[in-house]
Amino acid sequence: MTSTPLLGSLLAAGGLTDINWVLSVAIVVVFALFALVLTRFGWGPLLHALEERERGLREAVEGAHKASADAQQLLDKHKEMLRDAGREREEIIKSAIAEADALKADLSARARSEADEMIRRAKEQVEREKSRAILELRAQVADLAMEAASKIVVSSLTPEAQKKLVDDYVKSLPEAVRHS
Amino acid sequence: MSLLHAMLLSDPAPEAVAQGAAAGHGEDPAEILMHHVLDVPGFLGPLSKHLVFFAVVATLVIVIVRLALRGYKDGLPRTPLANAVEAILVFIRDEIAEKNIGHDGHRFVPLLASFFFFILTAALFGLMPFSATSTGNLSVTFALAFVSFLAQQWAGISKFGVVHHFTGLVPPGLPAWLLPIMIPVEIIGVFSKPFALMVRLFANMIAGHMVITALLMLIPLMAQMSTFLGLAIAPVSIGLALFIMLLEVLVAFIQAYIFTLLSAIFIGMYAHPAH
Repeated sequence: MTSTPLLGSLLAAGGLTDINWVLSVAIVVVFALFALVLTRFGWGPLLHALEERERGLREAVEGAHKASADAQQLLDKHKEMLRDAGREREEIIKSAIAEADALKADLSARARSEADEMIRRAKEQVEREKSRAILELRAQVADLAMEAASKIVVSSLTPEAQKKLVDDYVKSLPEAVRHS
Repeated sequence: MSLLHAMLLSDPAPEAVAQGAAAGHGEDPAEILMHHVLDVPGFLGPLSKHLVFFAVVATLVIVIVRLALRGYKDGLPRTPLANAVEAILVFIRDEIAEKNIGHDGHRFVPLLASFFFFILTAALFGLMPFSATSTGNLSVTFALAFVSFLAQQWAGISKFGVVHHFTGLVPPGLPAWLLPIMIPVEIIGVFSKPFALMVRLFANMIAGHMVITALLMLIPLMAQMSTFLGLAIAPVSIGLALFIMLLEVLVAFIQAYIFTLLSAIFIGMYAHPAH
C-alpha cells in the first residue's frame, strides 16, 4: 500500500501488544496540539468564566454580609435615637409642665396683687368721697346754723341765749359730723 | 449460516473483517477478533484507522467544548451542554486537581480535563458502528501515558529544579545502606506509574470490544455446527453483547475518571514528594 518506510511503520498494525513508535509519536503530537488548542480556546475561557462567576459570588456574599452588618448597625443607631427621642420627649413634657405650673403660680399671684391694688384704690376713693361729703355737710350745717342764728338774732335773743342755742344745736348733730 | 456470517461481518468493524477476508484469513475466528480490535493501516491515505479516529475524536471534543462555550451568556451556562461540560470541569478542578495536587493544581486542570474528555469521548465514540476505539491501542495509550509522565516530571522539576526533583524522589532520612535498594525502586516507580496508566486504559478499552466480538462470533461458530444452534444462540449472544455494550458505557466514564485521577495523584506525588 505504501513505499516509504515511515508510512510503512505508520501503517503497520502489528500484534496486540506491539508498540508502533511512529503512531505513538504521531499521537503525542496530535494530543499535544489537541490539548493546546483546547486550553487556548476551550478550557481557558471556560475556567475564566467560572472564576469570574465565583469571584462575583464571593463578592456578592461578602457584600451581603457587610450590608447586613451595616443594616444592623443602622438599626442599633436608630433604636438608640428612638430611645434618646423618648427621653427627650419626657424631659420636654416635664419641663413644659413645670413651666406651666410656674406660669400659673405667677399669673395667679399677679392677679391677686392686682385685685388687692384695686380694692385698696377703691377704699381710698371711698374715703376721699366721704371726707368731701362731710366737709360739704359741715358747711351746710354752718350755713343752716348761721341762718337759724340770724333768725334767733332777729327774735332778739340775748347773746348767751344765742350761744346756748347754737351749742345745743351742735350737740344735737351726730357724733361723726361733729368731729370732722 | 452465510446470512449470519454476513451479519457478523457487517456489524462491528466491516473494514477490518473485509480486509482480513481479502488477505485470505477471514475465516479464522482469532483473526477476525484481532482485526476487529487492531489498528488498520492505510485507513485514510497513509494514516492508520486509530490515528484517524484519534484526530476525529480530538476534533469532536474541541467542537463540543466550543459549543458548550457558546452556550454561555453573561458568564452563565444557559444550555444543557454548557452545564454538563461545566459540571465535569468543576469536578475535575475541585475534586481531582485541587485535592490531589494542591493549590498549584489549577495549572494542570486544562491537561486533566483534556485527558478526561478525550478518553471518555474516544471510548464512547468507539462504541458506535463503523468506528474504532483508538485508546484500545497500546501505542496510543503509551502516547497518552507519556504525556502524563511528562506532566508528572514537569510538576516536580518546575517546583524544585532538576537536581532537587530527582534527589527528592528518595525519601529523606533514609539509612545509607538502604539507598542501593531504594534508588532503583524509585527509578522503577517513576516509570511504573505511566506504565500502569498505559496498560490499564489499553486493557479496559480493548477487553469489552473483544468480548462483544467473541460473543457475536458465537453465532456463526454455532451455525457452522447446525443452523438451529446458530439461531438458538443468536438471542443469547446479542443479549450478552448488548449487556457488555452498556457496561462499556460505564467503563468509558470510569476509565476516563481513573486515568485523570491517577495522573493528578502522580502529579501531586511529584509536586509534594514529602506526602
